[in-house]
Amino acid sequence: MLRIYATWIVFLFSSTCSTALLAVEFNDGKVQIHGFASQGIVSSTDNKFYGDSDNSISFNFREIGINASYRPRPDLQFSAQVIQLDAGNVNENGLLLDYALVDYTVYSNEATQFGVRLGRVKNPFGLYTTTRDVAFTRPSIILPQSIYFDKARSIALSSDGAGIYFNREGSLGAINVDMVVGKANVDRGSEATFIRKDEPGEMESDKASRLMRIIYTTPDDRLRLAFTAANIDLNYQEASHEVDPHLFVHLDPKIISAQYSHEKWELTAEYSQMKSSITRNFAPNFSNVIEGYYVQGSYQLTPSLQAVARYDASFNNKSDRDGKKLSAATGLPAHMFFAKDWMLGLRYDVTPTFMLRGEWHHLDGTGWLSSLDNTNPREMERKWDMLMLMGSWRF
Amino acid sequence: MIFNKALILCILLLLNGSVAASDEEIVLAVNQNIVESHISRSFSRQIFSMKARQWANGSPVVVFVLPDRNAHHLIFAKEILETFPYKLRSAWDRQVYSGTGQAPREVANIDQMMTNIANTPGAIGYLPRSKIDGIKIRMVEVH
Repeated sequence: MLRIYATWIVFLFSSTCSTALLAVEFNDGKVQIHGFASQGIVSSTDNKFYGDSDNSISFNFREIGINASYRPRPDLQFSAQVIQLDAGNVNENGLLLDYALVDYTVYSNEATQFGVRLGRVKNPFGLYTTTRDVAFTRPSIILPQSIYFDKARSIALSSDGAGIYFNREGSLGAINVDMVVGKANVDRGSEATFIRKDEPGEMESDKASRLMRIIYTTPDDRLRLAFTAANIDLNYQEASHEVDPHLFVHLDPKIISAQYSHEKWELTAEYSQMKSSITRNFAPNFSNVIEGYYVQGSYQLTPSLQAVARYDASFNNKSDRDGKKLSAATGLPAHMFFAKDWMLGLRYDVTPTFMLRGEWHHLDGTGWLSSLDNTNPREMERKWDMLMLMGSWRF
Repeated sequence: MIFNKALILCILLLLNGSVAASDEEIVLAVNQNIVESHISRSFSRQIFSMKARQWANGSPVVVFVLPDRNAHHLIFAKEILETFPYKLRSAWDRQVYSGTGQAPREVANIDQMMTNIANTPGAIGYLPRSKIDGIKIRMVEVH
């Protein structure tokens, strides 16, 4: 509770005294410090998201982070960010090292940059993953869950390893290629997504994850097109004698993304397919194709007020969109295997560094709710509504 | 009625801000130590999206910008880079909060912009053409 008050005090302080977006800088701007703090409020009918939000109000939605970067030479940057999250029962406790890396530009000229990154690097995954915990960079309070599932946010979040990047801009537009290879960091929520609860053992990276994203931007900077492909291998190491020792998960998400930006409005759509293969010792192997897509539009009503609308759909099995087959196979309610989400939201930029958001979700299906928040599947309702409010500050 | 008055006030404020700024042509301005007199539009975009970090001679690029909602910044973004302030902001945010780049240095007004460009080797920013002295601050054409 104390932390909630502290966050709001920071908000009030920042909203009254900051008008420009001034980061903390040292050494002629070679060292920069930036950060953010967001507090959300969630209220929903029947089902729980970000804490005990069902027919009640949950304050367990908080994102705080601070980062530092140091660029001693134009071709070299060191940077790190720590974050602290509260996401109901889904998050890891304590401070998390979001990234810590060294970025070296091997080659650069007027039109081209080519470089490497080493350390804990953010994964290039769709349009929003690299900064998914920073409310200012999201189009809405929560990201479209079909592609950016919060219940298993860690799977495609970061890798401990290496990345390479290539940027080129010319008369035909700009190309940006990112590749990352490294060990995935798996959290409790992701473990529970595959095992359905938080077991004493640990889910971890089995083989190095491989991710690649290509973004093309047209010469007028209006249209961005992206393609993401990844291979992620996880295994579960049992601690004693749990459900299923030696469980292996292989995921191969592919995402196509498109975004058209005008001065006042922006249209965004992404489509993803992910084959999920689970190999087990004491139960049949299991494989299906998870599908998700969304279409989103935003419009700037005034310089400080923006409206956003989105339709977001996800299906745990592309060939079983109503969840009946999965329900018959698992004995769980069919609505746990899909979710269709209509969303309407408003963003009000009080100052350049402080904003307020509100959004309403109307849902059919509970596919992206975590079993850590909703421990009894029978208590979940197929059709539900959710209201969210958020205040966010950054520097 | 109150709403109508507020709306008219908003429009007047907006018009006032943009008229004051659009009287003057905005041009790219650099410190006198920069030798280039022309740069391509794509290089200027790479510079202001914080991806290109060195000049042709290898010296560091230091980028200065005005606040997002400043009328001069809007003209600069639309007419020189042919993009929008919010696109620049999201490009910077993606780098700043993923550890892959840094934000440009933000100054509060045109006077601060002039002082910083004049006194920082490798500096680039933008100014009304009338503020270019040709001694400490040079103009760079985009083509």
